[in-house]
Amino acid sequence: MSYTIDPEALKSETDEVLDALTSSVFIDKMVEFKAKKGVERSLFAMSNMTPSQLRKAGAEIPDHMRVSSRMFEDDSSTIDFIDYEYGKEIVQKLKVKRPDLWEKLEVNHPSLVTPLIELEKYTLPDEDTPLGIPLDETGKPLIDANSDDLPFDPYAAWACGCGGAATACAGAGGGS
Amino acid sequence: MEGGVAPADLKNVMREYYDELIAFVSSEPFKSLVEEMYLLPETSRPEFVNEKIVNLDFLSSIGVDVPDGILIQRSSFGDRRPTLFVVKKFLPEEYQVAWENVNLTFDQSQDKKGIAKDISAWRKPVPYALQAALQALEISPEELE
Repeated sequence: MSYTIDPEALKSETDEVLDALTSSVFIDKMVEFKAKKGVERSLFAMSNMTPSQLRKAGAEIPDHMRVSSRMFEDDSSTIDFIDYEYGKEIVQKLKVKRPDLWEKLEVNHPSLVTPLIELEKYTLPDEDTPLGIPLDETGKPLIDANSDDLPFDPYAAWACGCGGAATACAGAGGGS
Repeated sequence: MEGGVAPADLKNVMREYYDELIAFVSSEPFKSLVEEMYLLPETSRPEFVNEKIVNLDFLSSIGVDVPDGILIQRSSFGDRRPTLFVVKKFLPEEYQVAWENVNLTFDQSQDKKGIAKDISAWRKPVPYALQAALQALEISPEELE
């Protein structure tokens, strides 16, 4: 796939995204989201911050727009909210179930291997740090969004319009 | 709106900050570097990002002048979008009532059916290093189950 950066296309995409991001409904939801902490923030995000939920509340969310959690490198405030346990599990499975792929990684992409070895050694600072939402085989969440015992914590909210290779996003929370 | 910032004013500031990001990613030689990345197979792009796009020493060596306040980073989404890197800028503090920053995110081509749009988009993101390795191997975590 080739891609050419087109400033006019990016301007147009960001205009569309901005209309949604700065609608009074979306702004009010974000203000509410940021005011909550811990499980309360989780509950609020899952109950109010999917595109369909935002539309029901009156926000004009484009079909291609997504709202999601997100983490960044070099951001110590979100480090505890990354799914390290799942990451470690996948690295282990890669080594055990697909040693051919692990070897391919070592041979062809050595710079990508070192961070995975570091990841395997990583110990969560708090063993009770919750993991992500468990899903059934169809991808449906197994957790009731209104449960008082959610197994994860949200970090930051992100809304992105998705055009081509480059996507316009805005975010908040988690110090990112 | 809380904080005394009118939506129209927030929109104007965000527009201005997006324009700064667009001007940067459209400027040479950064533009050519990104376009060079997209000519590579998807499996080679994560390394290219690590070694060149987020490497400030490399960028400086080819004459890329990253403006003050603009960050180039790797990231990972809860909705599992196959992302590569992001060019980001924080809004002025007084405008961070709702959104705190704007950014342009550069992704792999994506099967949009595989990207969550429901509450599972609020899962914890996987470590970006794992995401990069899986992209290089063209394999999803589900294929290792």
